[in-house]
Amino acid sequence: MRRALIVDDSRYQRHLIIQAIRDLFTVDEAADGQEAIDLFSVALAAGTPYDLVVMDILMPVLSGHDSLVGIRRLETAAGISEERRTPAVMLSSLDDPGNMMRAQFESGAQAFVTKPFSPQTLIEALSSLGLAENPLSGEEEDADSCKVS
Amino acid sequence: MQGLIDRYPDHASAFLNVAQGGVYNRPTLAHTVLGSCVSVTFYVPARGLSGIFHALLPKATEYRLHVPEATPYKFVDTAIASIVQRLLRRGAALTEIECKVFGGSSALFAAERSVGRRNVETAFAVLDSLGLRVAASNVGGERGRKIVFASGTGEIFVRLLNPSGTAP
Repeated sequence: MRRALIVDDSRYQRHLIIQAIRDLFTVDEAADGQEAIDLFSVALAAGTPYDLVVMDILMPVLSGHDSLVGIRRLETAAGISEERRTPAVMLSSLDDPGNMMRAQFESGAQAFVTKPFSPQTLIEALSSLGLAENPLSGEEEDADSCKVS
Repeated sequence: MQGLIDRYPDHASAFLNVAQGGVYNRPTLAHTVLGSCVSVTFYVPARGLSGIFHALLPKATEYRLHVPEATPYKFVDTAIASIVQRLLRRGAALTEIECKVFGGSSALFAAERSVGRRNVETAFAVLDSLGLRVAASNVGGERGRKIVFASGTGEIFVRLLNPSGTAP
């Protein structure tokens, strides 16, 4: 089974996330951004990197933005190309435009889900990252798909 | 796509070209392909309403020759205004509308590189100014996206495309 790193200072929120993804991932938990970097570093060094990071923003010690930047630096230092990075979903109640932009254009998240969240919305985000069932994957390209705009 | 059509036999199917959009009160699988363009989905379960558009550029006011009434879905700001207005006219309240934002990838050509980001910035800013909640977004990056919106359930299916426009 795939491995996920769940980062949130609220034990209740971590519980909700784990409930939503427990059929898809085994889970490690971190309660702040620095602990997340430490766990990610250990996993990387052991040759067993995580398949998913779910990251809160507002946390003690180190924010989710700074933590994710730190994780991306670890991956770069380990020679991991951008395409092979561990996908990350920012999951936060800070849903102002600045935080949503920063998460996906600067911090290195591939998707943003706003709290409170429904399990379906989180699974949709994972599906788009190839980490949950996706009825669009594997289909042959049709003419429409070539007209990217 | 066929898999989704089979999964949602009660949904009609509609492909959105650039600068197209609409509000649905019947179940529809609305699908499109995005590069730097942006789509926003609107879902109002309490009213059985939903909407989606495929916009090319951020703001209509930056193009003096543009007549928003003629092609409201060409620009992100007028597209959001148009769909929200139509939903409100049909009885939806702003607090009932759930939005999701997709697209805005970087184009291969430098001149277009910032368009995707500006499209997303505009979408987030306009939705925020209206007090609309963005439940989720999947934006940026360097790869295009195929998206399918099941208007009857509010579900979204996204597939990242290879830079050549083909599936990974």
